[in-house]
Parts: sequence; C-alpha cells; structure tokens
Amino acid sequence: MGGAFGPVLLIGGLFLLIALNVPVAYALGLSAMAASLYIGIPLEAILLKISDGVDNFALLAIPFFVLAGALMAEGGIAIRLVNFANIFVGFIRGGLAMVNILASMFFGGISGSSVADTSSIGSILIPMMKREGYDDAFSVNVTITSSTQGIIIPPSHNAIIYAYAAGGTVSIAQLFLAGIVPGIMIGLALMVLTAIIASARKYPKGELVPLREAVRISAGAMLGFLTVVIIVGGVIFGIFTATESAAIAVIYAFIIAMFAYRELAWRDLPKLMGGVVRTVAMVMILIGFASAFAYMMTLMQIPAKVTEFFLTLSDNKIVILMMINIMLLVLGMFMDMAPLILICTPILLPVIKSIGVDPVHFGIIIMLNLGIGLVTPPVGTTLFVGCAIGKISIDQAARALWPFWLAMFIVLMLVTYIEPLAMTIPRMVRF
Amino acid sequence: MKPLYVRVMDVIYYVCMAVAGIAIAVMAVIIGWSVYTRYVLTEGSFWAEPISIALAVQMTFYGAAACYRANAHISIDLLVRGLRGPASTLASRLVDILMLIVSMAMIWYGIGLVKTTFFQVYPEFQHIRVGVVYSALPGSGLITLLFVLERLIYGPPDLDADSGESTQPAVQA
Repeated sequence: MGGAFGPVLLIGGLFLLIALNVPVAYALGLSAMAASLYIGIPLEAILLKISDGVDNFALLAIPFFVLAGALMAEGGIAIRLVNFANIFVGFIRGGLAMVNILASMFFGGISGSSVADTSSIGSILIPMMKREGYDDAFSVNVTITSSTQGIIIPPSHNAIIYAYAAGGTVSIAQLFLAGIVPGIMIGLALMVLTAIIASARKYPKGELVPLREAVRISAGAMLGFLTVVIIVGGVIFGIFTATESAAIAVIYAFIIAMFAYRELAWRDLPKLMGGVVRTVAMVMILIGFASAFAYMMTLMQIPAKVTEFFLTLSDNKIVILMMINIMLLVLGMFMDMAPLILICTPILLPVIKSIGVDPVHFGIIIMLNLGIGLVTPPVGTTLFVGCAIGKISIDQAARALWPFWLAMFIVLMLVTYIEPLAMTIPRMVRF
Repeated sequence: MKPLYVRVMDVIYYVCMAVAGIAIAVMAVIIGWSVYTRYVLTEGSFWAEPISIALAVQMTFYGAAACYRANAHISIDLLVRGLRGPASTLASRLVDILMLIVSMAMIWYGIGLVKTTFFQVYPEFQHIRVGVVYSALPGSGLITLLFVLERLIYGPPDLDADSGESTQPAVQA
C-alpha cells in the first residue's frame, strides 16, 4: 500500500522532521498524518490510533514506576543505598567508584531509570569522588555507565514500553527476569575495569565499616529494598499485574519517604510531581503518536519489507544480530531510548523472529544496546546529566569514556550471542 | 510585568500540570484500592480500570501540552544547533509552523473523533462516555496551539523566573 513513495514519506519524513528539531513525538504524528493523507486513510483513523495508544491499562505501570522512583530518590533512599553499598566494597582500592557502581545496581532495581540514577547517586558520589582525588571525567563516566544497570535490572519501565511495542506478545514478568543477569554483568564488568584503573592510578581505599554500624545501615536500606520486592515479586509470582504492583509501590514509597525516612515534606510534593508529569506525559504522548506511526508502517508492510531486506543480506543469525546491533548503536548515538524502542521494535521483531531469536532475549539486547546510546555522544541524556553534575564538558567526559564503553560493548556481545545468560532465569521460572 | 497573554498561558500551564499530577496520584490510589478490595474484601472493583484509563488519557494529553511549553519533549537539535542568525530563526519558525499544523489537526480531527465516540461507553463502567474521555485530544491540541502562538509572538516562556522550574528537557530512560 502506498507504492514506493509511501514508506519514503513516512520514514524519510520522520527523520527530516526530527533533524529540524521537531519534538520526536509530534514528528511521529506528523509523518503518520502525511503518509495517511498520501495513501487515502482518513485522519480520524490516525487520531483514533493515537488515543488507543494511551488508552491501555498495562501502560499505566509507566507513570507509577516513574513516581515510585522519584519518591524513593527524593525521599532519602539514595544516600541509604550508597551507605549500604559502602559496607561491601568501600574498603577496597577505588572503593568510592565501586560503591558508585554497586549503589547504582541497587538503586536501578528501585528507580528503573538511568537518568534518575545518575542524578540521585551522582549528586552524592561525584563530588565525594572528586574530593578524594578521583579524576573528574573518571567520576562522571563511572556514574553514567553504571546507571545503565537501572534500565536492565528489574523493574524497568523501558521493559513495559518494549512489551507494548512488541504488540503485547511479550511477558513483562519474563522481561524482568531476563534482565537480572545482564544487569549484574554490566556492574561486574565496570567493577573489573574500575579495579584496574584504580590500581594503576593509586586511587584511595575506604575504611571497613564496623559490624554494628553495618547492621544499622542495612536495616535502614531494607525499607527501600522492599519496593523492589513488591514490584518484581508481585509481577513474577502473578499476585498483581505490573500496573497494580507499580501502584502499590507508589503508595508504599510515599509512606516510607514521608513517614519512615521523613525526608520528604508535603511542600516538596508539587515540585516532585512537576518533574514526574514532565517525564511521564512526554513518554506517554510518544507512545500515542508511535502507535499511529506503527499502524501506518504495518499498512505499508514496512516490517515485512525490512525482514525481506535483512534476509537478502544474510540468513546467518550471528550476522543479522550484529547488523541489528550496529544499527541500534548508531541510532542510539542520536536518539533517546523510548522513541527508538517504539520505532524499531515493530520493524525488527519480525526479523529476529524469522531467525529464531526469542523476543524476550531481543528485548534485553535492544535495552542494553540503547542504554549504551544514552552515554554515547553526541546525544546522550545520561551523559548530559552526568556532565552537568560533575561540572565537566561533554568533550572531557567523552575522551575518557572509551574503556567504559568497551566494557559495556563486551557485555552486549556476550548477552547477544550467549543466549542462556539472559534466558536461563526466565526459562526456569515459568508460571 | 509579563503581557496578559503570557500570564493567561502561565495559568493554563499550571492547570495542565495540576490536572496531570492529580490524575497520576488518583490513579495510584484507585488501583491500590482495587487490589485491596480484591484480596481483602474479596470482591473486585469493576470501575477502577475504566476510571484509571480515563484519567491516564487526560494526564497524557494535558501533560503533553504542558511539556511543550516547558520544552520537556525529546527533540534533537544536533543539526540546527550550528545555525546562526536568519537561518536559525527560520528553522525555529518552521518548527513552530509544523507544531501549529499538528495542533490544528488534533483539534479538527479530534472533534470528529469525539463526535463519533460521544455515545459510546466503557462496557465495565457505563457512566463514562468514550467521547468525553477523548475530548482531551482536541483540548490538548487547542492548548498546544495557544502555547505555540505564545512562542511565536513573545518567544520561549521563562518558567524559571516564577517557579524555579527547569525549562530544560525532562529526561527519562
């Protein structure tokens, strides 16, 4: 449908509008509208698809994850997780950098967001690291790369976006389970790298935390960790849907932040909610417009044509996965994660199914890959936030980024080609 | 002192933010309540899902309009960043015109969608009309259009000045 020009108008129009600096969500809507006019689809149908896109109960998990994460971040959990991580790794050489990575692993399990992680953990640890004599760019790069664990380690609102973009055929619980090992692998890879750099540069050691103090710190952090138990446990054991567990997590996080940690006051809530609304509405409208865009792609049979194209290049699974990874890494350098998941998933899912890759496995590959994009210049939101906190230029951080980037790339390759790394846990825990 | 039009837009912006923020909080409470009724009172709340969806639609569309004014939508300025003088102005005016077009399409065809679905109801909770829920679409289009006009006439709004809010893009991921 639409001949050869229809797909050019849709895809080419999108990239042209994005290049002009039109917000990505509206660029998706405009290109879908232009293509629908070209092939004679009534615009009411496009508007209906936009509404249908957000008229979906499963997607309500996204605002709740973001709100629960914000409540925990502003409500005092970040500093408690930093202190908790300090018990385990603070005493070794480069201890503060290790604490940064481990705290991000813990915090990622709560917020599910790389940017929230960078701003919360980074605001505490980057100034501390600089005071202790760590190099500025090193401090920022450890923070931003370790924050990408939050995208993979459950819960992750990007997993919900992927499950939606995959047409609801992928289980959110399975995606959560599949993210555990790859998420931890990023942390371990960064810790090995940090140990090597810390040893070479003679970065300082911290002090061992006394047992009594360690018990007190752990008890304080446990209240925050229960958020993860509620969300992940609720979804995996089928007690709640993802949306329900996220709503319960919001109520729990609110009670903890307001009444247990007492680090959030009523007067703080309007500002906190303002930040949450800006993030959530931006993602949800993106999903709405992306639904219309995906509808037009399906009408024009673009996913089928892309599959055909990939299979003419090669029918080798390893080669196709490498081509997809390279394509996503390049796209990730220029565009944010949510829009890329929404645009690329419907196009690439038929390709990866045709070569026998599990869509759950592919979900982890795409999230890991686009997570690397978040820290890669020229456009990387996590990189920008980290540099702003560390008060260094993008160039300064980018020049020292390559060892971290390489460590993450190695993890991406391992997760892509050694399927059991992601898929063993989901296969073991099938309900 | 800010021009009257800008002050009116400030009010609309804060109303949109408040509607969206309250919608998220109410949704969390409603869904939490439905879990409580299911497990503790052993009876489901059939109304929780349709009401939450109706609120989510309002939150999305009115929140998105506010996001436009707060410059919180994801966009890529990599290619236009290097432009200077008239070329830069031309590029940003072009974006404004494109935003006007998409806003007008949301209003015009959104009204059509509201008319078509006005008498439809959600099967689980027949007190909510689908058309009323979808009125957020032309509503959001109208507010976005007003914000685009503000930007065209008075330039980007200075939200920092009176609220301490950031006009930098909100980021997620």
